[in-house]
Amino acid sequence: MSNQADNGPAIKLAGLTKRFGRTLAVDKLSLEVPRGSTFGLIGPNGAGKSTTIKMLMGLLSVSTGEVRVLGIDPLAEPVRLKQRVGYVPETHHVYRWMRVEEVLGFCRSLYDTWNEQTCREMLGLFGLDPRKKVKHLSKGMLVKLSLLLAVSHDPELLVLDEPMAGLDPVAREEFLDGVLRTICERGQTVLFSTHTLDDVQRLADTVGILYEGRLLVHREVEALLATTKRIRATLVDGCRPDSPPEETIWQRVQGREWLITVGDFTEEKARQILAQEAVDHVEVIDLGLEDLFKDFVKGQRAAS
Amino acid sequence: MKWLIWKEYRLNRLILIVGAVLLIAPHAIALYFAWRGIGPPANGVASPLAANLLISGGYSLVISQLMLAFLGGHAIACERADRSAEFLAYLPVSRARILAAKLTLPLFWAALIWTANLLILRLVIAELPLPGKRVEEQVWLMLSLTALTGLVFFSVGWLLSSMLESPTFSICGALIAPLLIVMAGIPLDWMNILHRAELWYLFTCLALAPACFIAGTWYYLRRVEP
Amino acid sequence: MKIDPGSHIPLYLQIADGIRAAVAAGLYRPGEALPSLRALAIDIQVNPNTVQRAYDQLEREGLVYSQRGKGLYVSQQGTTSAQTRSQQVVRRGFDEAVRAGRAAGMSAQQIRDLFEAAIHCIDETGE
Repeated sequence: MSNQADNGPAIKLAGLTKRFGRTLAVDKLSLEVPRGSTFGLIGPNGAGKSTTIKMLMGLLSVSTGEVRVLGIDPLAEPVRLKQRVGYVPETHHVYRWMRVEEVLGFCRSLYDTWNEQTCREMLGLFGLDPRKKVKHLSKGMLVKLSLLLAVSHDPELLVLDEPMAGLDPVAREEFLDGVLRTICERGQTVLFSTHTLDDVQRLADTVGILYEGRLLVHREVEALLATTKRIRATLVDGCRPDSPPEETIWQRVQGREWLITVGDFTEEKARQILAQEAVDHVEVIDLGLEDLFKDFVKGQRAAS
Repeated sequence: MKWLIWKEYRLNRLILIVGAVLLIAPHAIALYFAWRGIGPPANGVASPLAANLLISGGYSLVISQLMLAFLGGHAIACERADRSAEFLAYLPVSRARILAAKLTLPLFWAALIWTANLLILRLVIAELPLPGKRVEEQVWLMLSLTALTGLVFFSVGWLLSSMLESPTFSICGALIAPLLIVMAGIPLDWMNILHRAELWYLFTCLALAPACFIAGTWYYLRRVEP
Repeated sequence: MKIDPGSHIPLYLQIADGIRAAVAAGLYRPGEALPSLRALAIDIQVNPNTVQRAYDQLEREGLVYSQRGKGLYVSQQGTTSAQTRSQQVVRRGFDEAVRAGRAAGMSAQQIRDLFEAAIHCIDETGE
């Protein structure tokens, strides 16, 4: 039984929905994250990233829909799940009165698999003083302690909820270092949320854009970059564009300039615009992830 | 489990220290008075030591029950108040184990105060010439009322703690619960429905304490959020 | 090696370009090993899968060959191969420049003149 579950995707969401009173935080979210991959979840503030992650971790009840993490239902078997998942939350609530070594002892006693070697290595890498009290740690150190706790039991899945928000560049680099080390050594699955697109480029194989609780895109980063292009068309004087091409993500007309960001780009699409619309000239522009993300969000805002 | 209990001990350390002082202080005062030869109006038979300890034992027992309200009300909500409950929720430990660890402290505390004080009272009562069965009955009634008040303190605190985020509210709620029971009995007394007010209190406590404890436990086990 | 996560060029291509340039420049000579996947991933702070993709690409081009369990080595023809590929990278730069010129409505001759001027300018300051 567990064998079958072990071959399935690391994370599987089907129609996941979360309501807080009358507001819809997550709206029929379906997603599969294969084992061994790194998935980056991006979205503007309040898009539902943290809510989704909390439901994955069994920390929040689910309104409707299904969640399976490593084949486990987080609400039915939370302990079995947490033995196998490492989680770095958005805010850190480690017992403030404990010393670092006490936190380690406390956590060590709860995990079936605790890798003391990893733990010691990370302590060294991060320069964490075991004698220090948690309340005396800086924000950067606290995040690093959180990561250390999340990886020291050799989890199969690592879940990071905006882990690098508010870190200074040095702490950020050390944190990335720690994450990459564990990915390199164990090939574990990683899901992280962020609004820094640099992190996505660096860490993610696959990216999902979440907006108002809905998943707008879910693709490999490279495929997304390769197939999403911006077309800049110069309109004939006094003419307006007729109809945007299929898979238009966002468009804007300003004077003679018509900008269209399209998904599933082919040269054919650019030629069609030139042939069917009142335009003189068409140019294709490559987009970085940041522009692409902004266009997705702007396109949604315009549509709603 | 050792670490979980250690954590509970650390979280409740202040309450336990205050509790220990309240447990010991009356006896210390009694011993001091006895040493100085001061005692309650002598009935000529009892030694001042025994007479003093009888009073201090009563005090100590009653005051120590208050600590059960603190321990109960503090138990679960304290970790919600500083949000460390969220940290605990990330760790692979079942709600049942968390609760078991949280229960050990009040249980240990209750066992301690009762064995200590009952032992003292037992020794002291043996020393005192108590006239008649009537008094013995009175003592038993007092002891059971005290025990039940302790139970109500703890279980109401436990229930509120399980549902609320503020340990202060939970503790206050627990402390006024016995008062509310008494007050609810007053109109019944006026209407002459009650023949013996203490029995009303006794049975209400007997029903309320397990109900609150079970409800609090059930709610905490069922709740998804930390 | 410098990589730019903000660029529209996929990271694995940037990494492959970087290594190619390093080989062409003689930083790694034929028969020498490239940094391990893990070392490079941590060094440039990129997902090892991405580095793996870059290494696969380089292996496909014949710039490097893998020895089972040991890692990647620069092949005998690695340096020359890297130089030819570097030509392609330069070509990509030109393509982009020409496209930009076209977008600005320049004629082929105008672009050619600009190109000549650029070569002239860089050669002179380089001398």
